[in-house]
Formats: sequence, C-alpha cells, structure tokens
Amino acid sequence: MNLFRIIIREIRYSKGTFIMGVIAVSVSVLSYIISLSILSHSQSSFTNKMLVMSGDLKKEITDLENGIRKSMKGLGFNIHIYPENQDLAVIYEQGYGEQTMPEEYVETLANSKIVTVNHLLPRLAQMVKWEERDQSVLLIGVRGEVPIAFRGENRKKALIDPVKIGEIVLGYELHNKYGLEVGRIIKFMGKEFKVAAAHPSRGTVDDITAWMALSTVQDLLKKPSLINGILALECNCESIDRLGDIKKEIGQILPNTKIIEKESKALARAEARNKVKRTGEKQIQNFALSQKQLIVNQSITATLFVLIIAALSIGWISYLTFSNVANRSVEIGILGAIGFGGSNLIFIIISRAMLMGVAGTACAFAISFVLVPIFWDKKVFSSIFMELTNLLALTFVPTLLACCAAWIPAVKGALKDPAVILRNE
Amino acid sequence: MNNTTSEITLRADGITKTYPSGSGTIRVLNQINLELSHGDFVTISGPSGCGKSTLLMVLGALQEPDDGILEYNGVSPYNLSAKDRAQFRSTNIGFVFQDFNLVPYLTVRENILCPGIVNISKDWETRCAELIESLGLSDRASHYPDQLSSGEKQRTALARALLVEPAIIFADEPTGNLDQDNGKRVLDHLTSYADSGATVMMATHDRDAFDTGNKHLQMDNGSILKLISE
Repeated sequence: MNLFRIIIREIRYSKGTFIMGVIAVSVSVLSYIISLSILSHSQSSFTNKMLVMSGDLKKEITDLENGIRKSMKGLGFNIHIYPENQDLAVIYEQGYGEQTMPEEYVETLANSKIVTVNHLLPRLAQMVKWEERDQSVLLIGVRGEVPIAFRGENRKKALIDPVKIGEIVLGYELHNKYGLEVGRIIKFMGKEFKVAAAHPSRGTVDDITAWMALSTVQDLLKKPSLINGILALECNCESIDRLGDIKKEIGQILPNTKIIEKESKALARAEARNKVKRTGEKQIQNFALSQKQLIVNQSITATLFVLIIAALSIGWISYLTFSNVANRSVEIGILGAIGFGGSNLIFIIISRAMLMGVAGTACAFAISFVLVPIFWDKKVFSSIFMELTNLLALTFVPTLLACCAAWIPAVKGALKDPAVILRNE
Repeated sequence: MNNTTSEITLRADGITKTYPSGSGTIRVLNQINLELSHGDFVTISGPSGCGKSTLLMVLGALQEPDDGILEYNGVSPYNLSAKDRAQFRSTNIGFVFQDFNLVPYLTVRENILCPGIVNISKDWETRCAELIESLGLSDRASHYPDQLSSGEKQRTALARALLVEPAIIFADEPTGNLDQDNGKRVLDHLTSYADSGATVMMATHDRDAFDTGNKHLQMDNGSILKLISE
C-alpha cells in the first residue's frame, strides 16, 4: 500500500471528473499543435513561393541578360582605347586611327584588376587597296578576345569570334560584288586566303570591311606587334560619372592612351536590364514583406487563441480540482486524522492533476499523430514533433500547467483542519 | 502493541476550548484536568453537545485547545509543527468514529493499511492480515466500504485504528450505528486492546458500552462531573 495506489484508486473512483480534466488538457495541447501546424504550413508555403519567385526572376534576368548580350554583340563595343597621340578628328572621320601602340597593352589591361570594362579586343585597322580587285577595303586584324585575368569564374565569353590565320571574313559588298562564296580561296595583297564567312548586308562600313587574324594584318601592314585600338565593353555598373571612372581607371593602367565612348545604346540596354532586375527584386521583397506580415498576424492570432484555450483549460482543471477536493473532504479529513501530513495530501491532489496532464497530453499526441499527417505534409509534422523545443514544450508545459491549476485547491484542501472536517461531518 | 506504549501517559491540565457562535463564543471544554495511564479504558458519557467529541479531538492532537496543557509522556503535541504533529498522531494515536469514515475507494485491506503509509517503522502487511483474521473480515478483505455491513465497516475502522499499535485509541460512539452483536464485538476488541497495556478512551451514549471501561467519566457543559475508577 502506498500513496500511488491511493491516487490511482481515487482516479478510478471519480473517473468522470478526471476524464473531463484530461479532455481539457487534450483540447489545450491540440489547439497548440494545430496552431503550430498552420503556422508551419504557412511558413513552408511562403518559403516555397519565395523559391519559385526567385527562380522565375533569376531565369527572367538570365534570359534578359542573354538577350542583351546578343543585342550588344550586334551593337559592338562601346569603349575605344587609342594611343594618346591619336587625333580624335581622324577617328570620327574614318573610324580608325593612324597611330599605333604595342599589342602588349591589351595583356597589361587584361592582367590588371580593372572593373570598369569587360571584353578586351585588340585590333589593327586600316583602309587599304585590294590590288587584285582594285577595291578599297577596310582591313581589320582581330584577335580572340583577351580574357580579363582577375574575373575568375565570372569571366565573360568572347563577343567576337576570332578569324583564323589563313582565313578572311568579307563584308557584303566585297563578296557580293565579286561573287566570292565561303570556302573559296582568294588572293589579297599578294597572299592567299580562304573565305571563312561572308556577312550579310549591314548598311555600314562593315559592308566594305575584311577581317583577318591580327598577326596576319600586322604582317601585311608591316606593323608587327602593333595595334591601333583596343575595343572594350563598358561594364554594367552603376556610376554617376561612368566615362570619368573608366578613363581614370584605364589611365592609371595605360597612361599613354585616350578613351572615347561610342554606341551608348548598349549602356541604355544594360540600364534597362538593371531596372527590370530591380523591379523584379522589389516585387519579391514586397511579396516577402506581405507574407511575413501575414505570418506575424497569424502568429499573434494563434498565440491569442492558444492562450485563451490554455487559460480556459487551467480554469477548468482548477475548478475540477476544487470540486474534487470538496467532494473528497471527508477522506482528506480522515487521512489527516490518521497522520497524513499536509505535504502527503498535497502530493495526492497534485499527482492526480499531473496524471491528468500526462494523460491529456498523451491523448493529444495520439490524435495529432493521426490528424497532422492527414491535413498537412510531413515537413509540418517534423517541424512540430522533431523539434526539441516544441517537443519539450508540448510534453512538459501542459502537465506543469495542470499541476499549477491544481495547486491552490490542493493547498486549501490539504491545510483544512481535519477536526473541523470530521466535526462538520 | 509497540514497545513505546508502556511509556506513554496522557496528562491534560486546564484544557479549555471555545467555538465561535454568532457574535459570541461557546465554551465547549472548560478547565479539563485528566491523567490517563496504560491499561485505562475510559468511557465518557454525557448529554449531546456536552463536549465529549471535542474532548476526544483535543486529546487526540487533532484540535488545538484555546488554553491548557496536553502532554504525552512529556511531549506536548500542540508544540509540534503541523507535520510533526501529524507524524505523532500516526505513531501514537488511533481514531474510531461513529460514522466509520472509511475511504470509499479503498478496499477493506487497503483502508486498514492506510496508517502504514505514513508510519513506515515496519512492514504492516502481517499485522494487517492478523487484524483482518481476528476481526472476522477475511471474506471481506477485498471489498469496498459500500459492499460492507455497518458492523463490518466499524470493524474495518477499528482494524485501521489498531494497525500501528498506537498507545491510545480515541473512539467516538463506535457502537452508535451498530446492532448489539456487532457493538459487543467492537467493545470486546477495545477491551482486549486496553488489557494489552494500551489506553482507550471512548465516548458513548450506550449504558452497556459505558460500563465496559475501567474508568468512567461523566461530562456536562464542557466539564467533568465525576471520574469513577473501578
């Protein structure tokens, strides 16, 4: 015979009130679990939506960037670097300069930590006479793009396909006028070249342009290791004084050069792209903010809901315990008379409430294990039952609150004078 | 009975107890002086409301008097803390009530064993079995109080009071709700217990029960009118 047996026998004897207490705890715990499930589901759904939206935006931006890249390829380079002594009037008049600079400048630039330009393309251009055809031709020697060494993985792809040694690319007028198809071997300035490509009409100076490998043109023009321009593409960076920044940065690396900007359409496209990107990001931010606000509101509502249910449960358990203590007052008096101290009696009453809490929690868990996976996904279930804080809160708090709810009636009941109880009896 | 029993004597000196009543108070016990020794079986008689039950409660360390001294072998239970006083009762005092006051959700055996939960000086199972046997409750040991007759209930209550072999038993009208046979059976057990060296104090309205004791105390208006020793 021990106190535990008395507690169990008493619970069996007055199981009605005990079951009502268990139900109160179960409802309380269930309301908490349901609230957590709803919040967890909202959070998970929000995260998924954000992922989808971010993915969509990223794809749109990538598509846009590719589009811009293609557009810019057509537009050409917008930053031109010339030797310092080059007369710009000549540049604007004939499209190229007569002054040259060492080809190694492009390597110097590429190996610097320059950030204001992308894509470096050295070239040597000059208007020449195609003696074999008696035709003026703008001869341009190009090399494959010189990669910028310090960009690592972010290095840009070459914008202009290089022309191989022994090959020639002809503008529209040049191949159309003389009926030169791709693959044909032609003579140009005394040397043979294979036509590698024949451009369609562009309505620009390109139509009378012939492109060759840079080294070939350097040989033909007898300007070894020399170029008369470096074309670059302005970076897509935001700056109030773009050209000023570019000039300043390149000037520090290649002091004997001058820089001009052409084709600002490329920049306008880049700015448009930035604007689209910013708008998209702003939309995502706004969506995130509204969703977070929604979740905060849901959390407040859920917290209030749980608190009200918990308060009602505590009140109910307290009332049930008061009622139980009142109904059991004679037994309490008898036990007091035969030597049960106040602490023994409090232990009996509180233990009953504790078992009420444990049984209520167990019932709520059992119901939740069935219901949560039906209405919500596994992630929600895991976020509630696999998370230590939640699990501890769910396991111990209801029982603790049930004990607290029973505390006052327990103390009041246990401290009653047994003589008074028995005399009244 | 345990070994401490022979050492216990009860001495009450100037015990006074009042209850509030309306705007004033009622003096229920008035300057009670009393000494009890081992083997005393004191029966108390008197009209209803004369203070018999209150005297048993006060002497049983259940209800503190307003004035006076109560000592058990020099120990004053009312000078102890509530916890120690409860422990004192569980070791030294047994109660038998007219209404039996059994715990309804415990069986006969469990009711009898109840005092043993808080008095852990020994394992009371054997003593419990002996009491069940001697009080004729063997067939009823696993029954609940609402399945018992009045006589069986009172015998269960008596067994519960006797379990820890207290030095003194206070019985308040223990035969009041019993027929003659059952009443006699209870009285026989109380007499036997007093004969073994314990002290028994019993309040009763029953003339035959009153005559059972070896000391007879008559009360009226909270005072002892006379104490007759045989």
